[in-house]
Amino acid sequence: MAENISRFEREINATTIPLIAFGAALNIVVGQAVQLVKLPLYLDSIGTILIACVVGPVAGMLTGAFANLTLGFFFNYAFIFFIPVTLVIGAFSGFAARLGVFKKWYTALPAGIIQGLLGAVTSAPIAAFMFGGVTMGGTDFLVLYFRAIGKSIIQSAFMQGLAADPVDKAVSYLIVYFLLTRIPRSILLRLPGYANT
Amino acid sequence: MQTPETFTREYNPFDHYLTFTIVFAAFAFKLEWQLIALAILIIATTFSPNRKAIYRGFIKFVLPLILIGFFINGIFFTGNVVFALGPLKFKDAGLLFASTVAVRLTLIVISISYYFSKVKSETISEYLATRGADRRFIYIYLLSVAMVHLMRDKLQKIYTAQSARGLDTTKNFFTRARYLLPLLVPLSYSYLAESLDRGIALRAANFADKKSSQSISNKVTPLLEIKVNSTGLLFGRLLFLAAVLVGILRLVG
Repeated sequence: MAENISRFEREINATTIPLIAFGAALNIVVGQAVQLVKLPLYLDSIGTILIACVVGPVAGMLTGAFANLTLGFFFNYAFIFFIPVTLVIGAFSGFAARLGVFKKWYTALPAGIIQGLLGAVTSAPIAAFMFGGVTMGGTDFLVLYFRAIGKSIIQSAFMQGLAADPVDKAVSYLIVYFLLTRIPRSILLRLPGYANT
Repeated sequence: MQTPETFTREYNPFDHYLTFTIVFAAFAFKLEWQLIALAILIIATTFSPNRKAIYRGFIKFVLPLILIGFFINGIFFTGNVVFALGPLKFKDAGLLFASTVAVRLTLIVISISYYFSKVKSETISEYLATRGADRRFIYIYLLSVAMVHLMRDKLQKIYTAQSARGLDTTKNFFTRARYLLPLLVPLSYSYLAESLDRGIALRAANFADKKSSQSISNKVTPLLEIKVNSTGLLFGRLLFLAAVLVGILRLVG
């Protein structure tokens, strides 16, 4: 417990607070970028993954939570209920970054797929019990398909997550890897998690 | 020191207790009690000056969700057929499940939007700070809200510039995915640098050092003076307590 508290205080300080706000805002703005280039993906965790990598898992979790709170209050209320998923994404990305997965693209890719599987496991019960399996996302037709072939709501929500999340998170991890390789070293050197990049 | 009137905000805690109560009811009450809570909420919302915005948000985001929920669950649940639309047969168990989800969602969404239509982000933040909330979280929230608008404008400018340099969104999936980088790299670079500079400023001001007596977060000058409505606080607490009692009675009974 004492170690957890010190980790929290270590990651949430004057230097990292604006970075967390930036990550939360990036999560939201990436949605607009995805629309501009007309991609059939969400990519709404890029800010969370980036901050988890350059600061740490606790900062990543907070980034995801604040992004979903802001999205929920201003755009679509459904996002508030998916905060537990963002906590899992932030924590996993932070610990994966410490293992050095963002140093090479071929380690970032499988880590993103594992992240997608974890995301599907976390989001399925929320989508099934809170929304009856429908979240107004582009992948709702998959829920309809799985229900049509005789799966239960929770199974359909989980299989829809399995079909969509690993691809989405693998692309997100790759984008974060390429972002880190293209951001000047002078900036990266000033980040607390520079060793993870 | 006297605070100018423009920096004074009235805050009625009854609003957030009403929201807490309705959200609690959405999970803890039986369907018939939830319908009573829904009726109270609709009456409260009807007298709100922002009712149009609340209902517009509901129709845009939640109503399609509810209708698709009725369609999917009504068809694919097993049970007795209630009615049929051509080859589509709607079952009782599915319609009941969809009704439960629909009422729960309606209660949660309308109560939250009712609250946020009445109170501004700054007022909530300052109220939470006066109640002892960590100023670090309040700063993160306010800064992220401010950054979203700035970053959206900047992204649009970058997109216009990259389009002039040949960014073409009619190409295949992989090319379009690659186009994300020329949009996101300049955006992330400029805002990362700006965030790091903000961090230096906050550190210089001893913002988040809880141990230091010089810490800004310990003795910050409030942006707004919040006047709390004590009658609203009392009635709000009573309302929430009554809802908790109903929930407990349901568990016991």
